[in-house]
Amino acid sequence: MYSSKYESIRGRWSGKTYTVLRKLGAGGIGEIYLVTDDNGESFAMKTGRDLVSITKEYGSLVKLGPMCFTPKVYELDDYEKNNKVYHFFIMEYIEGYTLRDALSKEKLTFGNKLDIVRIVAKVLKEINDQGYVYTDLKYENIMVDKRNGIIRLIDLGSITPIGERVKEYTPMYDRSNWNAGSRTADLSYQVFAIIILLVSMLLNKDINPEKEQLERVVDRLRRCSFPKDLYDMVNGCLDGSIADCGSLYDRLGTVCRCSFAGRRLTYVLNAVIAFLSMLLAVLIRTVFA
Amino acid sequence: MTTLIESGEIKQIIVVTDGRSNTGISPVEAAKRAFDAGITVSTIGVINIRNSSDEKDIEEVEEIAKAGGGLCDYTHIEDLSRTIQNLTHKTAQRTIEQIVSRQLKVIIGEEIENLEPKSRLKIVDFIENYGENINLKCIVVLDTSGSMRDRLSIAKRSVVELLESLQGRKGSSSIAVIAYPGEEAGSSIICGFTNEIDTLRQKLEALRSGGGTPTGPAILKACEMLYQYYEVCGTDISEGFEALQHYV
Repeated sequence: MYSSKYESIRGRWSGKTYTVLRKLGAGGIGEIYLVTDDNGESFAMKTGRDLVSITKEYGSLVKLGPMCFTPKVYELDDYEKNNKVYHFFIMEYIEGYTLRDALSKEKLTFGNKLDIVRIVAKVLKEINDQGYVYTDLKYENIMVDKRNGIIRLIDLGSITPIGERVKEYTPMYDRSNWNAGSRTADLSYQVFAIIILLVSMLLNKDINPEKEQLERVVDRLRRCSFPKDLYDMVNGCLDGSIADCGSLYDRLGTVCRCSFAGRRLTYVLNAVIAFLSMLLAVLIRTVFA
Repeated sequence: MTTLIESGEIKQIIVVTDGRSNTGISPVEAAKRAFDAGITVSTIGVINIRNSSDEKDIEEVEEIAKAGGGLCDYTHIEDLSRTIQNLTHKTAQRTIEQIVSRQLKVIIGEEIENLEPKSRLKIVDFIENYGENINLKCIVVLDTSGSMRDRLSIAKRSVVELLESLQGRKGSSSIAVIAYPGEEAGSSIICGFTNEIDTLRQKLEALRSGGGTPTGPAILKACEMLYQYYEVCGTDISEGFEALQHYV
C-alpha cells in the first residue's frame, strides 16, 4: 500500500497536488488509485517504486497516445513518502467495468461475445501495426468504458516490440504454457491470446494449462454445438494458419454473419412450421366439423 | 561492481525459499558479501499455506534482497515459474540501472532519480535494451528443506522454464543450481553453469528434499561458484574477488 485514503500527493517536478480517493487495482509493477486534482477533476494514478517499469509504461502510453482505446496520459513525476521515493504517472480515469465484471454480471449472448472479441482483435491489430505486441491480454485488462460506450485497454506495461521475448503474461493466454509455440512477441502470439480469450468466454470459465490439454479444451468447445465455422477459425488460430489480428478480425466477421444468417434461417423455419401447424389445425377442424 | 562492466556480464543469485534460515552464517550477511563482490542477490518467498509464514520469515526474505542489492517477491508455488522469470529479468534491469546511475553521476553529477522524469525515457530504453543484450549468469539457490518436499517438482520445472525463457534473450544466458541443505557445507551444487535445457533437466532429476534451512552458507557457495567460473575463464575478476576474499 503506497497511499492511504485522502492522502495528498505532491509531484516533485510539476508541483501539482493530487488527493487519493480510493485504490482501483494493483498490477505487476505498482498500484492504481483514483485521485482528484485541485480543480476536483478525477484521474487515475499509477504508482510504484520501480523507476524503469513506471517510466517504460508511461513511454508506451505516450507512443500509443493518439489511439482512442488506450487511456490518455498526462504527467510523469515522483513523490516522497517516509523517506522513500515513489514514481507515478497520471492518466485518464476510465469509468466502467472490466470484461471480467461484465461476464459475471451480465448474460452475454454468443453474438455479443463474438462482437467483443472482434473489437479486441481490431484494437490489437492497431497496436501490432505500430510494431508492438500487447502480451498480457486478459479479462482484467479489457475495460468497458461506460461513458463513451467503447472498449479500452488498460495496463500497457506489457507492450513489447515485435520479435522480442515476452516478459509479462498470464499463463492462461500464454502460447508457451500450452506447449503451442515459443514465448516470443510475434503476431501469432497475439492471435493465440485472443482466441483463448474467446474460447474461455464461450465455455463460461477460465481454462488452465496446468490441468488441461489444448486438444481437450477444443473438444469441449466442439460439444457445445456452435457453428462449424467457429471451430475452423479456432483451429486456424491454434495451428498458426490465422497468423495476424487482421485475418482474425475478418474471420470473426464471417462467423458473426454466418451465425446471424443461421439464426435467421431458424426463425424463418420456425415461422413456417408454426404456420403449417395452424393450417393443419384449421383443416382438421373443418374436416371433422 | 566494476568487474561486471569489464566482463560485460551480469551475475545474479536468485534465492527461492519458504522459511527462515536456521543454520550457518546469517543469509543477510552472506547477501551483503555477495553484493560487495559485484553479485546481485534477489529473493522469492514461496507462501506456505499449511504453516502460515510468520512476520520474521517475511522480514528475512526482504532483508536478504535489500542487503544483496536485488529485489524481493512472494508467490504461491503454482505461480513460481512466472515469478522467477519476472524477478530474474527485473534483477538484471535493476543491476544495469544501478551501474548506469553511477556512471551518470560520474559524467553529469546526477543520478537517474534526480533527472527530470521525461528525460529518463531514453535512459530507460537503453537499460531495457542493454538488459536483453548483455550476457547473464544466474545461480538459482533452491531451498529443498523438509517444508518444500511437496513442491519440489514444480520448483524444478520452474527452473527449467527459466532457462527456456532466458534463451529468448539476445545475449547469452546460463544457469546453475545450488540446493540447500546439501551434503557438504550445508549445500550442494546440483548443476554447474549450463545453457542446455536437457542437461539442466537431467541434473535436476537427482534433486531430493529434506533437512534444515542453511540459507546463508548456500548464498556464499553461489558466490564462490561464480568467481571460480571467472577464474577458469581467465576473466579479470581481481577486484570483485578481493572483495569476496575480504569477507570469506
